[in-house]
Order: sequence, then structure tokens, then C-alpha cells
Amino acid sequence: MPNTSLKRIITQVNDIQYEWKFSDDGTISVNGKVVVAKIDKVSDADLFLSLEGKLYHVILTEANGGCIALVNGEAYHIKVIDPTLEKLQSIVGKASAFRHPDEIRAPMPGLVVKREVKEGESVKIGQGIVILEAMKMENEVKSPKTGVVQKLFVEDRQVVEKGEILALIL
Amino acid sequence: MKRKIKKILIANRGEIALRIQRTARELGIRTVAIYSFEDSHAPFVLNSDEAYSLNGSTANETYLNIPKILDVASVSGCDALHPGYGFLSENSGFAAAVEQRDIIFIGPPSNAIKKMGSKTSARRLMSEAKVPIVPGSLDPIKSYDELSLIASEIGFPLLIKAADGGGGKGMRKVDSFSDLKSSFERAQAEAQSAFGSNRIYVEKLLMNPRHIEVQILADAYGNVVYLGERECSVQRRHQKVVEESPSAAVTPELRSQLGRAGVNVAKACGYVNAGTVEFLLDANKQFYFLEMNTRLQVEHPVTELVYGIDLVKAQIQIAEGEELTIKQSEIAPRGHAIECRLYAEDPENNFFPSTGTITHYQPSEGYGIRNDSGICAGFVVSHLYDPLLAKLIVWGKERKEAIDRMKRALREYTIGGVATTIPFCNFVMKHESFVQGNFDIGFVDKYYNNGKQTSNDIHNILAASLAVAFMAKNRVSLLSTNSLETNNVNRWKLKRFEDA
Repeated sequence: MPNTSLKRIITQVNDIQYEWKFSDDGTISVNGKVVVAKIDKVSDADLFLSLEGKLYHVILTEANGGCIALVNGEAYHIKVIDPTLEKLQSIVGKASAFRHPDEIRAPMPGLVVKREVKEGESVKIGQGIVILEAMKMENEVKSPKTGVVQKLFVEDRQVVEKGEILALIL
Repeated sequence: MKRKIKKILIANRGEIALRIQRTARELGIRTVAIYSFEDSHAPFVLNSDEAYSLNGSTANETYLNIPKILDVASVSGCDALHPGYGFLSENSGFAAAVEQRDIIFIGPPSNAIKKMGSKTSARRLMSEAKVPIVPGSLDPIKSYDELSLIASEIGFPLLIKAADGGGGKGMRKVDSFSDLKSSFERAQAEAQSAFGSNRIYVEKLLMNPRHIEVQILADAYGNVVYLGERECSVQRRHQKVVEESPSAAVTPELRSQLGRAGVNVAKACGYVNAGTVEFLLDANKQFYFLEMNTRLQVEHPVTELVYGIDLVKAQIQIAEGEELTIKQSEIAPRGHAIECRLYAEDPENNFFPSTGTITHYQPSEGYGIRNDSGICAGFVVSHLYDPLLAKLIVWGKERKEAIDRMKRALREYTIGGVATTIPFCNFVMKHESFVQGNFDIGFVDKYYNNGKQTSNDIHNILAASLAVAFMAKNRVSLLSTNSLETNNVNRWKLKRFEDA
């Protein structure tokens, strides 16, 4: 990632973007407005901050390619938007350069109980591809499109991580 | 026949193992823990008097493995066994094997578990005892053809349920014939893996009832009392998240009707020990027997706080052959209690399970708060077991005070490293329908739009957003922006560990 974007960070919460600027002299602004803020990092997963005279303890947990920030009993899903990446994405179209649209990934970590299709088999949209068991619940991972199973990447009884590729549908 | 218990094997894990250890220690009884590889440093293992590894990871290798558990009971010289909830707690074969070894099973006799454990034989028994039941099959379903025949009789939507289980596992809602076959197969497979039996049955789905259950205590001499009701209507995937006692929908008259029905159910199956009779209550305040849970319930603490009775202590005393000394006329609710189940799940992502290492753990404290937890900082939440992390229970002198206290307690409670249901519970406590006591088991589907409406405090949003921006500025890896890149890095790391 280019160093020039380091001091300008865009975060997105509930589809609203916030542009934060961190100056060398310690000044912090959000969407062009300077705020009174002091930040004490406790660990990589939590920090204390004082913002406009109020104190907060924010706890961060990685999730869904972004993170969950827990503050005062409320949890916010927050993504960091990389301006250069976003520009690139708008040129080449919706994230297609970064993720193959036809691949099926594990929505959660778990155990592949059963593969419901074979390689080369035709599948309909919504048809079950793999049954994934996590925390005693069985979840059917379904095909997002009608097509042919090009490749299966997992075996029965295999443990998969979240986001791991399960199958490719063409 | 009276017999003092000296040492209890706790055939369970997590918060409920700790819960049982606490009462046992107060009574001067020693406890023995059993554990899987993943749980070797869990708080319940550290708090036990003796602990034995079951040399395995999956539930089948460990907490469901009857021969291994019975071996530990013999080797450690236990004279009693407490099964907790889930796992083997409602397995009549296990209870019978324990009884045969002359070890006291802290729960009902195995034949009562068998009668009520098969949901279908329970339905048959209740229909004979004139307790109202939900329309559906009275016997397990043998084939898909039989299922489709009954489905056309009772109509859709319907529920397929595990005949030998409970707790929502193996349960499937079916809206039409097109989903019937795949739901049938899924439910069978889930029931097999959760309960070791693939028998299922079917019930008509009542539209938006409330889930009300009655706590009963029965001794070996035919005395049965009820300790009021719990309302457990706030559910996701047919599993409870928020429970309370008393229910806002239950009047004193309805309470005694429900209570008497619960006592009749217990008497009909020759029940001894603590048990719970579940009912569905419809909009006309008609109630239907759903099932009996022949064990301690997850949500038992709300009853303990309102009725002032330690249910685990009562279970142990009944198992020792003591007679119930409390009379029904002396039992009355005092105040109001609410429980929130804190699961490792992401409510904003359809309550998907969330796994990982607990990086931060600070439970709430103060007046009227009880925290029954199974975790500590550094604990690894595995995908192998149930995602319940902790139960937060509050008491208030009336319902409003309890709700206000729960809001305060949820604000204080912090868990880092996994997503939790804390924000969802917050949503429930603030929702007008919940506050008014006007809700049913459709609460989540009706009102909860993946949590988007809960996150609206601009001060909190800005603080959270600044925290994340600050971490990203300092290039903390946690906040990697490109998910594909993150996946690649993780995989490489995994591979490297495998090679090592």
C-alpha cells in the first residue's frame, strides 16, 4: 500500500463514510472538522480514547474483512476503505478484479459434513453444494448461480476456515 | 433410602460445569471435571477438585463418550454424576448405565427420561393424561412418504423436530412441499449428530405463540411443587436468547393453571428431581404442552433469583433421598429476573457462529447482577461445541427495574476477540414491544433487521470509527483492508504451521 494514504483514513459504518485526517502536529479531523481527541492504545485489540471531552473504551474484533468495534455495549461493523483500491475497483467494476464471482467460500469456520454435488455436475441457483457443520448446527451452503461445478476444493470431514474456497461454479 | 453424596462427576463443560461446582463446594462435596483437548485450560477445569482428560476433541470423542466418562467415574471414585444440560443429560441409556454402577444420577430416573425424552411417546402420554398438545404425529416418522402424508393432513407451515432431542437442534420449519424432502434429510442428519438418533416427528406450526415453561421439583415420595414460569419467547433459530421470570403475559390465575398442568405432567411420567415443562401460549391464552426437559435448564437462574431457591442444591438433596420440605402455599415470586445469553455469534450477520481467542473479558458487576460464564481472557472459542459463552442475569424489584439494570449491565460487559450477542440483547431491552411485554416467538423475525437500527448513537459511532482509523493509520494487521489479501496471508501462515 502506498505510504501517502497513511494519514488519511476512510472508515465506513452503516453505509456512511467518515474521512479521518491525522496531521503530524497531532491534529485530528473528521470530514474536514477538527476534533479534540486523545488516543491511548492498550493493545492491538483495544484502546482508550477521549473524544470531545467524553471517554470511551473501544474493543476491536476482526470480522467479515473488517472489524467489529464494541463500545458502551453497542457493536459497529466498520470497514476501512482504501482510496486507491476503491478507485481501481470503480474502474474495473464491482470487486471483480479481486474475487472471482463464481467461487463459493465458507461463510464460517466449520466441518464439511458432506459434499452434495460432484465435479462436472450441473447445478441450479439455490441448490445445496456443501453441508457445513459449526457449533452443532448444520448449514447448507447454496449455489449463487445456475451452472456447472468446475472444481470442489474440499473433502468430506475436512475442517475449513472462514472465507476458505469450497467450490467453483462456471 | 437416604445416602449422602461425597463426590460428583460433572459430565459437562463450560458455564454449567462451573455452576454445579459452585453449589457442590458450598455443600462440602468434591467435584471431578472431564475435558477435551480444547478445554484443557478452561475455567471449569481449573475450578474443579480433580480433572481427567478424555483424550479427544469432538463431542463424540469426549462429552458424548459414555464408556470414557463411566471409566473416569469409576477411577475417581465418584458416588454421583451430574449431567448438566445438553450432551448426555437426556440420554436414558446413559442414566441407566450410571444407575447400574450404583452411582447416583443427579436427575430423574432413567425410565422417566425415556418416557419424556422421546418427544413422541411424551406426546402420546400427555394426550392420554388429557394435557392439551399441539396437532401433529404421535409417533416417530419412518419414511418421507409417511411425512408427506401427515403434512398434507395438518398443512403448512409445519415443524420437523428431533424425536429424541431438544434445544432447537434438528428442528426445521417447512413452508411448502418443495422444501419438505431436503428439510427431512437435514433434520435427520442434525438429529443424528446432536443426539445420536435420527428419529424425527412433525407438528403443526402455531402462529406466533409465546414460549412459557414451568419449573417443577419432585421428590422420591410423590411430592411435586412448581416454581412459577419462565418466558423464553425471544429466540433465534428456535433457540432462546433472552428469558425472564415471571412472564408479562401470565396472571396469577394462569400461573396456577400452568403450574397444576406442569405438576400433572411430572406425575404422569413418575418424575423425580428438577424438571421443566414447556408450553406454547397462544393469543387467546390457551396453552399446549410442547415437551418436558428432564434436566436443569440453561435459564434456571431466573427462577433461582425470583424464588430464592438454589436449584442445583435442590437437585442434589432430592438425589440424596431427602424429602421436599417446601409447600406449594409458601412459594411466591419476589421481584423480576431477566437472563441474556451471550453467544459467540454475530447478530449482524444472521447470528453466524464466531470463533477465535478471547482477547478481552470484563463482565459487568454491581447490585442485582449475576454472571454465569465459562470463559476467561485467552480462552479459545472452538467451532466444536455450543457457542454459549456466558449468561448475564439481573434481578429487579419489578420488571422495569430489571430491564433498566440489564441495559446498564450490557453496557458494562465487554468481550473482545469474537462477535457476541451483547448488541442484540441491548436491542431487545430497548425495544418498545419487549418493554411493554407485548411480544411472541416471532420477535426476531418481526423486528430485528440484522441490527442496523441499533447502531445509531453518533458519539459511539464516531469513537468506534476513530479507533479503527487510528489502528489502520498505524497499520495494525487486524484491520487489513483487502479481504483477499487477508485470506492469502492466513493460509500461508496455516500452511507454515502444518509444515512445521
